[in-house]
Amino acid sequence: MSSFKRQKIAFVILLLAFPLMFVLNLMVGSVAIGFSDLWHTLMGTTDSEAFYLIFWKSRLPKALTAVLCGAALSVSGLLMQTLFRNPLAGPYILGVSSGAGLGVAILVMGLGVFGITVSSTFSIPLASIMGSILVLLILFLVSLRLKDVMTLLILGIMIGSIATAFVGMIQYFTTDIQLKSFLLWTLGSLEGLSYKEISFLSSIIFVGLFFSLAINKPLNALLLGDNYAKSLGVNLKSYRLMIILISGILAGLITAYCGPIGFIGIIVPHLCRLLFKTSDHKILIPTSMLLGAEILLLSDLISNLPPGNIQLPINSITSLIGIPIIIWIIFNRQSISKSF
Amino acid sequence: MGNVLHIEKIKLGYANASVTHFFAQNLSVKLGEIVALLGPNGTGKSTLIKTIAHIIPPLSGEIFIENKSISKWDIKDLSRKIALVLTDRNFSGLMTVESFVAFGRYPFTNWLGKLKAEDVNAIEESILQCEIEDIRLKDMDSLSDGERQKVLLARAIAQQADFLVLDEPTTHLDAKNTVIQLRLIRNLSRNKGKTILFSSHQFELALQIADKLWLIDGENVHQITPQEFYENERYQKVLLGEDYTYNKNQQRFILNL
Repeated sequence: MSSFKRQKIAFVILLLAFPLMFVLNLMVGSVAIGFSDLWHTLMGTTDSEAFYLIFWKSRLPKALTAVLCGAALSVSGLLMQTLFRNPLAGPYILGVSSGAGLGVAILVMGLGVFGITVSSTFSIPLASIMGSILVLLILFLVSLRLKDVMTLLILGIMIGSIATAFVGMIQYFTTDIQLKSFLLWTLGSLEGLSYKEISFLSSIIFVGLFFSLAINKPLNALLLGDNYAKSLGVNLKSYRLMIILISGILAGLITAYCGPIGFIGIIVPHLCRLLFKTSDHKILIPTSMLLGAEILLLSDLISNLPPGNIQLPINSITSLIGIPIIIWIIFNRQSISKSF
Repeated sequence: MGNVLHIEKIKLGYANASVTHFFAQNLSVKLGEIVALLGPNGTGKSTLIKTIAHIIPPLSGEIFIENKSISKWDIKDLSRKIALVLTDRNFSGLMTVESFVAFGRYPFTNWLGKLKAEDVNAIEESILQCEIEDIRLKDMDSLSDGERQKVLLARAIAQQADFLVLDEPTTHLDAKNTVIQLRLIRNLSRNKGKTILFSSHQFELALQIADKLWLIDGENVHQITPQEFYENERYQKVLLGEDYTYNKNQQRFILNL
């Protein structure tokens, strides 16, 4: 059972990397916090008020957001890949994030045209989730008729473009203030969430991740194709709906709070498949959560590496990390479908 | 003996497709029988198999599994009754033969898919029966067509259902492996009392193991014995066309090129 041993080693490495990434992420930023300072700040024994503020008001919420965001996007991507039986599926590529963006744009700016302002804490996430679930449903209905991998992908890109076009039109009619708040949102950021928002975010994400784990067995059966899954007693309709809801809520919620963050959802499940040499969701779901959180912590760390007050947008970093990995997977396995 | 399967005036096809098939006769499969489903290309063999397995609903007519209308069966209960081999061939490159065969135990395991001792026994037994021990750790996408065919049957056997519905279980197999596979199918019926419906284009071999044939001839499905097929030219012509000679002594058909 050498493959089992290999899986155990890989899992231990992922587990150990998590606290390491988390602590490193807390230390790096425009003001570097050394390890002993970090310790004293955490214990409340520091005399530096600056460290205290930076740590509790900025670093910790940001790191927690990165963990939630990475875990949720990765599992969302994994679910979409299984649902569509498509190795290139992911919230960003399929236009699900753009759909979420359109939902937010209609809410923030569209209603503004009619002089209605909305409170953002809960209505933005709701609009975003509705946008992403709408796109997933459209894609899913189409995928029932067109089984081709590439067609679905092109369709996702087109839906994304349509959503963006609508957003552009809404922008044209909107006020400067509303436009600015929307544009800031589209840049994507892990920062600025209050602990109240983080606890709301985490409670919903935990529910989503719990349900994904609960349906690991039917998810595995879907890998055999619809016909075999059905003959094994899987209720296709209800599980597909459940997958759409879970992945749409996870992707929509993250997009609402952090803006569109690309490529995490598509690469992390693939890396886990390569690392653990399995397509079993019982293994892929928890490991994707871990690795997703780690990669986003790392991306955030990299975005803070430039000296001074410069901070690179998180979306650029995830693209720069993600795209080479996709290309590497394609070359490594000859074809991306093979690692699926 | 009771009917495992009974079909009444069925119309088949995919709801949104233009091609439909109508079979005017009532058809039935009895407990422990081996039925070979024969017919030219495009006459609806695969569609009939998928309809019997409750993967697509019939457009009209009725199907009874153990005297209960198939639409009234809970699909979970049905998955313990019917095991299926299909011609689908896209499988994950990250799934071993072993874990594919283990999917046969899906209807019996808990939410984590944990295999109990009896599940492991069923899997091991079907791996032995189908002679795939040497490829059990291979990935599903690296199998030859013949190897895959054996693995598909192994998965269905591991499901331990009473009724096996097999779509072309011997296509792609070489002569030697075809014999092994058909002998296995026959023994499943003779020794384990399984009821088997299988489709095939290798009719001469199918005739040797089948108790009964369903010969699709347009709207008619001739429900006949192999003996009736040998004796009646009308049936032979459905499969062979006009240009063949039949050697009665050897029960051999020679196609004239």
